[in-house]
Amino acid sequence: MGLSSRKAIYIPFPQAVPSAYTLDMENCLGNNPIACGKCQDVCEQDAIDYDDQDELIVREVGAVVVAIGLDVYDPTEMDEYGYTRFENVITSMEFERLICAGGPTDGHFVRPSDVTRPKRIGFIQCVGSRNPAIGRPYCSNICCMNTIKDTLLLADHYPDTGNVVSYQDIRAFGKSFEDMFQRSKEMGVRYVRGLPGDIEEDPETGNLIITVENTTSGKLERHELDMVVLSVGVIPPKDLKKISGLLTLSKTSDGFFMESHPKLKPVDAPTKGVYFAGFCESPKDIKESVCQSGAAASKVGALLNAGEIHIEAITSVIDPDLCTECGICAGLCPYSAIVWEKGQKAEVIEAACAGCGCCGAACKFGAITMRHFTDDQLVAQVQAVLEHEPDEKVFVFACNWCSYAGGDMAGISRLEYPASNRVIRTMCSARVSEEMVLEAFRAGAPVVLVSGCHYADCHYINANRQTVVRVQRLWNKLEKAGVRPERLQLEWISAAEGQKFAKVMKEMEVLRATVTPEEIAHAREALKPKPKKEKVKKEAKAESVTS
Amino acid sequence: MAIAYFRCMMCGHEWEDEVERGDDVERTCTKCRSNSIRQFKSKPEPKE
Repeated sequence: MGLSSRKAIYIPFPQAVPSAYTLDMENCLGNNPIACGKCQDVCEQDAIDYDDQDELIVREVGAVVVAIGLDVYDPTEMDEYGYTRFENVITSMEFERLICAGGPTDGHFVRPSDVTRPKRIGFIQCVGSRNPAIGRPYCSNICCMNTIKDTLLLADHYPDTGNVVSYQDIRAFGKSFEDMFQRSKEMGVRYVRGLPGDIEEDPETGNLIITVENTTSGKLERHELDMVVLSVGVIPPKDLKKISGLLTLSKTSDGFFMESHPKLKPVDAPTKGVYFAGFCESPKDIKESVCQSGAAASKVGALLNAGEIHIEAITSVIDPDLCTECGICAGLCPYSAIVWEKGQKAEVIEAACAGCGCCGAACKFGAITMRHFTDDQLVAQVQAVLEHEPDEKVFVFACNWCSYAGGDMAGISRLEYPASNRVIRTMCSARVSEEMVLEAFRAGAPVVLVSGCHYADCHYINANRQTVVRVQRLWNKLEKAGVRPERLQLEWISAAEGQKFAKVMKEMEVLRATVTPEEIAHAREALKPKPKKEKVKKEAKAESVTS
Repeated sequence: MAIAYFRCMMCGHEWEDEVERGDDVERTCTKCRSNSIRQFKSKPEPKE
């Protein structure tokens, strides 16, 4: 804010952790050739080394805790609030510096334009939060209570200050938070439900004018203020993308890291041995961050002290004799659990494999077997299900975690749906290969449904995106073969969506009733596997020799 | 940004939308809420 100066060696801010000095190398005189060097002279610990360089340190670790924090929203793009045009519009972070005893004004709160104490201060909430228009639809969680705390501080330090808070909703749901909110109102802070469209400045006085519709009273209010504080939201840290690539982590739609399960595994990353702590997983306050960090530390402790780790038996195995070194499986694995280099056979790291089966479904050479869900086992199930009266059945592939559980939910909720469906369970919808779907049609299925978790719920990071790719490809194949592509359907059904499961089954039954015996017979013939060219040639050659 | 064409494989509803390379969007039919959404690069032939 330009209100004070800083030395070339400094502690970033008084509460910084670790409380250590850092050198501003752009302004330090002591570096090559040494022109000053005073800090080095007085440092008893001999901690200053001007020749120190960045270096890459390799460590082998058993677990990783990702705690990369957050970035604060920059309100420059919201020009209507004039952050770059008006000196007396500041952010909540700048407010903290101004009111801090260790800040540039020693805690004396002044407005930047004339360094006088403001008497009327406005707070505008949700700047950069809950605003889909700027791509930030989520609530930043901490801003409401931060503003309430700020108003209490101001009321305590300067009782004659009149504060106005312009808000959408006040979210004070933590322990004692509602008390703080009520205390703030009792101390005379005015809360106006509604956000101003813009801020104007009186060029003579530097005062700011906001006009806001109070949606509680239905009246338009005009406030002349000495200063406005924009309560800025938080955004995912800029390093998140890089870390995400390094540790094969996925993100939720708001850009923060996705946890393994929102309710049951809120600390675990989908990648085994990686845990989250703090803001990088979702906006949260200090108390929640401390809780999550404690939980992450406990999880790491349990993992590292386990001695022996039991892994799931459902993992993929690559047969090196059948592997053609194409590397497709390695590119698809959501966990980077397949190691492959050009000209080398692919290998599965079993401790990292989560068992989605995406690789097995993608391997065209049958080189990948997924334990307990082998191709042979699944195809045998398809054939067994459709052995008798296949034209009366709706064939369903359901993923273990969501769709199959959705079917269970429909059952325990006693929801009625046609009894024509036959469900085959796979761990993930991405385990369903094109060949399995075609086999169902060859066996006479009128309708095939592939169902899995919703995008945000995929239990294997993002494996179900491969399901979409395969179903798209299958629709094209079916159309080319003269088979009505609508006979193959795709649905995302979560474990809680028993209603949806029943609704989808009813729709499938309606669709099944439209499929004629001629269509089924045509599909059986048209989708027959074509003999490979080389095989045909060899057989023809053998025949000509014998004749 | 490119325009992609979509057809609901359940109800037959067709529409077009802007898509970006690497888009990670769960698509749903705006008419029947089905997830059976077939994507085309060019405008598909009208259904008979």
